[in-house]
Amino acid sequence: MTDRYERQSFLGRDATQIFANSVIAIVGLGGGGSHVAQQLAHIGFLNIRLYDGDTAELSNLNRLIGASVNDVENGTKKIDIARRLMLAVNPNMKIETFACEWQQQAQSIRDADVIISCVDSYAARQDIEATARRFLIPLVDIGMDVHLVNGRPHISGQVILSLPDGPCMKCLGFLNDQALQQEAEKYGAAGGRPQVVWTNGVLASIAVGLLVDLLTAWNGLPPNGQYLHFDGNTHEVSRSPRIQYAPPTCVHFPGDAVGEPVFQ
Amino acid sequence: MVSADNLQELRSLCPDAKQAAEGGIDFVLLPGLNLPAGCSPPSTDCLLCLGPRDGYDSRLFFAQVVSSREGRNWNGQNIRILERNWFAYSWRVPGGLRPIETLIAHLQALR
Amino acid sequence: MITLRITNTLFCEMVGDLRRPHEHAHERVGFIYCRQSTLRSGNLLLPYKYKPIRDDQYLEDHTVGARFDGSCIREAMQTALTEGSSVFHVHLHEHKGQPRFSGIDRREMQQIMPCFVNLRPDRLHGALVLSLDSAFARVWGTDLPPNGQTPDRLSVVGSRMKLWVTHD
Repeated sequence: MTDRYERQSFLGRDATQIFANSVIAIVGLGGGGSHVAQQLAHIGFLNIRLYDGDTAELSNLNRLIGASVNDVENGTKKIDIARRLMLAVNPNMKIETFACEWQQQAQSIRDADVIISCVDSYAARQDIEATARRFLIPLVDIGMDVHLVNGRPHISGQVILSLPDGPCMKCLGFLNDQALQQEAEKYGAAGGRPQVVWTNGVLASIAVGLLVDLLTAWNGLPPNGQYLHFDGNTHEVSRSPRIQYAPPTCVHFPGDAVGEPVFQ
Repeated sequence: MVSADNLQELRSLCPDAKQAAEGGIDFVLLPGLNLPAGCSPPSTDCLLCLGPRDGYDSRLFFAQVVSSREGRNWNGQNIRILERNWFAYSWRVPGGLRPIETLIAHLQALR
Repeated sequence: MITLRITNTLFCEMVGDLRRPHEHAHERVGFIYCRQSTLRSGNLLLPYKYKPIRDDQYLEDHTVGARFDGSCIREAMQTALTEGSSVFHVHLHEHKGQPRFSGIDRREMQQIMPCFVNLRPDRLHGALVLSLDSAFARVWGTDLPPNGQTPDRLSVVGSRMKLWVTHD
């Protein structure tokens, strides 16, 4: 009988078991998270936690993997779309879904081996990373944006691998007071952030590639994590120089600040 | 970290005040802080954020949304800090104040 | 369920320290201190500090890998009390691949672990044996069998994650 994973045997003889044993949490099952979910199912991950309280809307159909017109009409939850998609690839998967923000089921995320963050705000990233650091969970974060440069749209995105003993997103300058302040000032402004399926696909694929390398070491990752920048206009992925100049260990989350907070 | 003197001052309003840091920012937990008259509930756990975060120079977080005489814009919902979920309204307080002055300035919004 | 997660930084620190030669002891020993958090179904142990025992705390005994005096146990107990931590005894088997506790290791842990469990019965404590690229642990607690229990999940977290899962 053909082994369904034989084409990825170069990842190492233990890879299939590693994927089967790992618990992966995906926070945000929108344009980026839906891509990630699909790929994890194909690769052979079995234990998945999905966090997203939203339902599919018409404006999601330009990018939400697995979503259909019926889902929009029926108000299907994004986690259920992802779950359906994954189980169609591999019915043996154990998928736990949380139709809410992850913070409302925060204890459930603690036993994830890796968190993949596909959220749409800097503030949300700040919260997830703080928890990931407390419980020594590697975090892979993806996101994209479209902004005007000289009046022309410019697509950009990032994939960041934040490791518990490496620089955090603040160390890397990605989470900074200016970005958080600008985001806070835009709160309540009408209209969603621009999103397109192909950029989400690129970023999600890179995130999944980092995840696989993290777990199997088939190629090997830099010791202090990764910060990749995607230029959606030139279609280039490059390593951000910020990771080169980031402190080797995190200055915001000291190594002894793990577990439940200790108040003095 | 908050100095012992500043923490002691805060304890004049909340005897069980204690501090912790997360993400490079200092926080002071104020268990069962009594809120201004007219608030419901009359007291609740609060978390005073003494560093710039989410676009504010400082911020006061609450364990639950509080109703007050003046309705406030509770634009912070389920914000996860120090392994609890918090809620906060939009209210700007200038920097450079002592922690107790910062706390009192934030509570002004509920008067 | 019991999960133990160690950063690769701490793992390398321990291996590096435990490999140092000692004047008469064949092996070195240390203690790691862990924070304990709850999971939905079990406990999560998160080491935050490693402390080797001092050179002068080893007793000369060539019949065993390492013998140490009671002061290091008392110091570890004091730290557990002061910092509210779980305590893990740690030593190294200098080979690659999955290590296992020897008979002497097991007997020694049976003697040491009750000290910590009785001191802080609200915490899990245990023993960790490292190899150059792997780890194995055993956990003791008031609700666990007297000879301890292997954690359900043990991982070293870093740019190369390692995960060991104990299957039923």
